[in-house]
Amino acid sequence: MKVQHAASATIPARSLQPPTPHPPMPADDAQLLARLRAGEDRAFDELTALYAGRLYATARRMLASDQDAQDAVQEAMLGAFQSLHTFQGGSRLSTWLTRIVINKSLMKLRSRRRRPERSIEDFLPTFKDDGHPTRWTPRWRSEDTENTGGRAELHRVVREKIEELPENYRTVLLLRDVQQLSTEDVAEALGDTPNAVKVRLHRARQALKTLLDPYMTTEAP
Amino acid sequence: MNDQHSNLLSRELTCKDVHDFLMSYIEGEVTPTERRAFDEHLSGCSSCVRYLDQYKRTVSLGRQAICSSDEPATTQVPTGLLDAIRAARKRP
Repeated sequence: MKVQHAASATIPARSLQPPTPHPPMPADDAQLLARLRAGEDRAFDELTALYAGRLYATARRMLASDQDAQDAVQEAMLGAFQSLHTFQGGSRLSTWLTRIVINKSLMKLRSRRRRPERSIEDFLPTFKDDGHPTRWTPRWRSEDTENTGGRAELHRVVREKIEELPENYRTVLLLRDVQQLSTEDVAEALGDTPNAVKVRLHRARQALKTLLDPYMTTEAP
Repeated sequence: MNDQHSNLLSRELTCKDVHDFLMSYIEGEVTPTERRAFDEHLSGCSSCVRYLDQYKRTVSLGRQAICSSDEPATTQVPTGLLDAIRAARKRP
């Protein structure tokens, strides 16, 4: 399945807003915004230092490329600075910046040559003619066994496995399950139908589960 | 479930059916009749019950792994990125 990215692949402005009335903009954000609008150089440096790491992580996960992610963050920070006047303060600065970096990342995904990847089919469950699985679902270890260190290691593995997903699927999983955009907003951003997004999300989750199986499966059947 | 599943209930659900339409089931996008058929299959298939549980855990883990405080997001900014942003901003 190939993603037909829209000509202007961006997530709608209404996305990434909290679904319920959100608290007022934090005082730190408001002060920083005022200094940015006043053209204070140090405020821009502070904004960059505060958020570049988080934005880089978001872009890196979507693009799976250090250089592309750095470019996306750089473009996002400059774009944010140039459009400060459009920021209404209706969300946190971090939310607004995240939306910008996701849009820059989507544009990069659309413009770059598709890289060779494994097919999603390699990670999906398979079935016999009678509808039974060719392999029974293995047992996963219980969550109770995860101590803090174990949980951090598990999270590291999950991040690594998400990165192994084919790009089309990774993007949908990140936008829906992590950023929690609606199916409709993801469909609009990717130029797809909501149904296509649902199908891809389901396959992405199944593939991630398959990739986690070796790590999560208990020794004893 | 959409049109392509319309004849799903004309026969007993298989494990493949359950795997294929799991997301619709979890997200409440099935009719009461379809839900009963799913529940009936799950009541007799421990493999599908495990798959359902692990599918839900996968969704939850994906979000936790990225949003958790143990993600080294802010400590792994490539050296040079901050300088590059500053330099780009000063360019005419």
